[in-house]
Amino acid sequence: MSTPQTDPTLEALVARKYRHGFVTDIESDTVPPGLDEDVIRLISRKKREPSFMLEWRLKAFRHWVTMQEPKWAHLRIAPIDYQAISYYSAPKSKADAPKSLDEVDPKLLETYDKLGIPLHERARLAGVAVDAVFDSVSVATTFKERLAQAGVIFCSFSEAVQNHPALVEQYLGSVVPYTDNFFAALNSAVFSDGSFVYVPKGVRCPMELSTYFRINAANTGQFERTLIIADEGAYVSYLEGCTAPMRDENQLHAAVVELIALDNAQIKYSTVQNWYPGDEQGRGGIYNFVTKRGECRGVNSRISWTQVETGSAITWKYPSCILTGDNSVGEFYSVAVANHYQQADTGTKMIHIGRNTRSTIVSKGISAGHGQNSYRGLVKILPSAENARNFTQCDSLLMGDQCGAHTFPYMEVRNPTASVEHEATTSKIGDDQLFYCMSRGVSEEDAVNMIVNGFCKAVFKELPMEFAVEAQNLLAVSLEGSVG
Amino acid sequence: MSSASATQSRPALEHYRTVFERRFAADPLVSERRAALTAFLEQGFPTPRDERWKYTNLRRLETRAFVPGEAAPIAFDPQHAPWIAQAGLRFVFVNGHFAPALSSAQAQLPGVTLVRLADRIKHEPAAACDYLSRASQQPLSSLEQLNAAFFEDGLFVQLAPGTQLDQPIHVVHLWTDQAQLGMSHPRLIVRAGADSRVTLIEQFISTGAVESFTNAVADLALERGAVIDHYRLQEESTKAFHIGHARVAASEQARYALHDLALGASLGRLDLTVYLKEPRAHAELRGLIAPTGSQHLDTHTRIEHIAPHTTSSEEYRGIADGRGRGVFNGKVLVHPGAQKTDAYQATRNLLLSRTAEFDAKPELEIYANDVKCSHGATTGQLDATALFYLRSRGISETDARVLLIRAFAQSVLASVGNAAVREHLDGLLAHRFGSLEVSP
Repeated sequence: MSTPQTDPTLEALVARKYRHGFVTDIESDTVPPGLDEDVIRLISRKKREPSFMLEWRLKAFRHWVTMQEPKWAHLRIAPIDYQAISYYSAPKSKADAPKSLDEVDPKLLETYDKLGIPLHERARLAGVAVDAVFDSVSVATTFKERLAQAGVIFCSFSEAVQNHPALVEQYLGSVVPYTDNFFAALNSAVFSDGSFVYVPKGVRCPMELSTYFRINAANTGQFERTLIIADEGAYVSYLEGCTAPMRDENQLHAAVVELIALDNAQIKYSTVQNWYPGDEQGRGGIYNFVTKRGECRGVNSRISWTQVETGSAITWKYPSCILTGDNSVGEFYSVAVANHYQQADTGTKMIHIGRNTRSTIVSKGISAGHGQNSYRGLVKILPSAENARNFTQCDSLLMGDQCGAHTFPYMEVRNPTASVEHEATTSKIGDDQLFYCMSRGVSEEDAVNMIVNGFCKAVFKELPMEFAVEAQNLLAVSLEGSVG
Repeated sequence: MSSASATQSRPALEHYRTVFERRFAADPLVSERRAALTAFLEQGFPTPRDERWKYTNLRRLETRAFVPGEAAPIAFDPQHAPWIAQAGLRFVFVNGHFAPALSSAQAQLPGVTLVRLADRIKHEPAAACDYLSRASQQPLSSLEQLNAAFFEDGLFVQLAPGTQLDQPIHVVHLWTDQAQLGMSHPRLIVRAGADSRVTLIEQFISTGAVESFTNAVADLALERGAVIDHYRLQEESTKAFHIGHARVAASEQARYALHDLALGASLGRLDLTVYLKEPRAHAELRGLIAPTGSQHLDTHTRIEHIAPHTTSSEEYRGIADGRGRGVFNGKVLVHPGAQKTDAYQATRNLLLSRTAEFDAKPELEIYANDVKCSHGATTGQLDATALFYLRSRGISETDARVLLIRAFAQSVLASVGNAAVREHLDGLLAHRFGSLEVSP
């Protein structure tokens, strides 16, 4: 048995407090807690939605009330009182939504500054269009003109409902129906806003699209909905990143992301998730129950999910690919960290339907402190999926003797020409590796960092450049010194 | 299991209650049995809503009104018995009842206690309970409760410390063609004393194609340094229902090895749990799951590394043909503090037809950091290059396929030590997967 090594400086680093914790004092236009059909009608009315949206929300709500929370995940979840949550909160907007950054509440901009996201700077320097979601309503959207020139629609979901109702009606719920699961049904009923992307035929989106989400008003669950459609031959890379302010109560976050790739289209979706994980004793933190799914609807289409999950008290998230089109490709690259009392149950589903479909899964789980990290993945080969291929690699790294690392892969194969491979390993950072580095003058801290980064390299290299740097820093903050 | 599932199968459950009252009202162990029955009725049959039964639906089993099997004379020449011939101490149960004429047990072996449970219940009911102690105190599943309520016979084996039994103990469960809708809930209880060694062969066979229901429990405990070689050969008819449960508790330096063959039954399921509860305990599991026709064969293994320095190695292979469906779920659980655990698990599966299915779920659940755990799983078809290689050497396609399939199956059985068992398994595999037309 190994004895946990203790080193005061390392301890200090492990114990480092969440740096992005603060609450911006902005008047919120919040409805009282509770959920019934009236609340849904209110949300829909406030957002001036067409009737098909209200009908859809109500259908989702009526279905949701018949459902029970899923219990199968390897998670301990304190009971959630869905009637204690306020389902709508919009930053106080005077008259109409601001049309440019100048009109945005300066306090809001200050918040982004604290987070290290200088909106206009980043937008100009990095050439990234940012659709910042502050609580539930989009307040700033940049680079719209440049995107508009290319014909790309990138806007908040509410705007899409107003301006492109036909597209929304055609695609909304076509990958994640409102009946899909408990949290998706809840989201469908009450979702407040989110992002909408449509890349027309043959267009390669001229820049990487990015959204920063941030939960703010106390007791407000956030229910975003993202819908991305890549029409024939289109390409889009979408970045999503989150941080959240510190608070004591658990907050529910139940988002839905739907991706649709038509013939020869490609969607790359990258996430850095850093919601507030709770304190060292496991108090507080975000419940992150997300349904993400993409459908490769067309031939030769490709969807790839890359995620770095370092935050949230509880993560329940399975970005999936439905490979309907022949020769389509699904990819999933994930780094998940569970430190202190964090719990993560995350993985993917690859559903092979079309011929010659291929999928790759690379999952790296890191557990430290009392963290519990589970990989749960399904690879399903239907009889029609001639010559389907899957390769799965999931590795777990354990740091400390109180944490857990678990692997629950499901492989369902119904076509003899398919080939499915799965490998998993679990290990700790080797004493010999550490010794080697330290004997060459590398501090223990740096050695651990190096080894962890090496462990995650296969995933980081899939991230867009600026995200990769952020992800490495995030990992360093979340983990440094946790070696046990 | 929710009460909803219990309500769904209410008529089925009522049937078991009725049969129970008719059969065991005056039984010496009625109160223990009734407690088990109540537990079973409360939980009901597992349904696919239960994660552990996701791939296996017992609806077909539930809807049949099984009654305890009746002893029957057997209609074949015991010289040409379907069981492994010269395997050693043999105990044959026909339709769930001990058949002394077919069995061959020497009167007394030094250091070995062999007790037939039915005997003991009849003559010494007070002592019978002693033989029903359990190797682990984990809660029982509903089907194990069903066994505890309905068991009528079985074998208790105790080995005194240091006893090295050189001949295997061979337990045969045979269904005859009179056993339509018969059920049997046999038990095998083994207490292997310190440094003892024994080979167990459990063989489940049918001579007629009848719908029978076996719900067998094995409960094995290995004291310090004990060694058990366990063969579990499930070769029942393709109409039969076979449910098996095995729980194995291994103490310090004990070594448990399993060779598991799932070939028979219309619906087969094995739940095996190994508890490595003291340092240096070791488990070695090898298995073959080979459904064909419309068979559904499901094996769930669970290895719990409770103490530090425990090791396990597991390899299961599946070959699914016809409309057969195979399921393998292997779980390795490393308890907090079980440092220096070394666990390896592999499952490799072969699909031979367009309508076959294999579902594999190798799981790791790890609560200690200084461990070495890995698993690998593959599912696919015969290697095209290997086939081509053989064809290019003038071997017919049929022969080449047979060679490759047999080789694939054989590797699981390569470690079979007992010659009689090996010969028997060779025969079974040849029967199932074919043999070469001309010897090279």
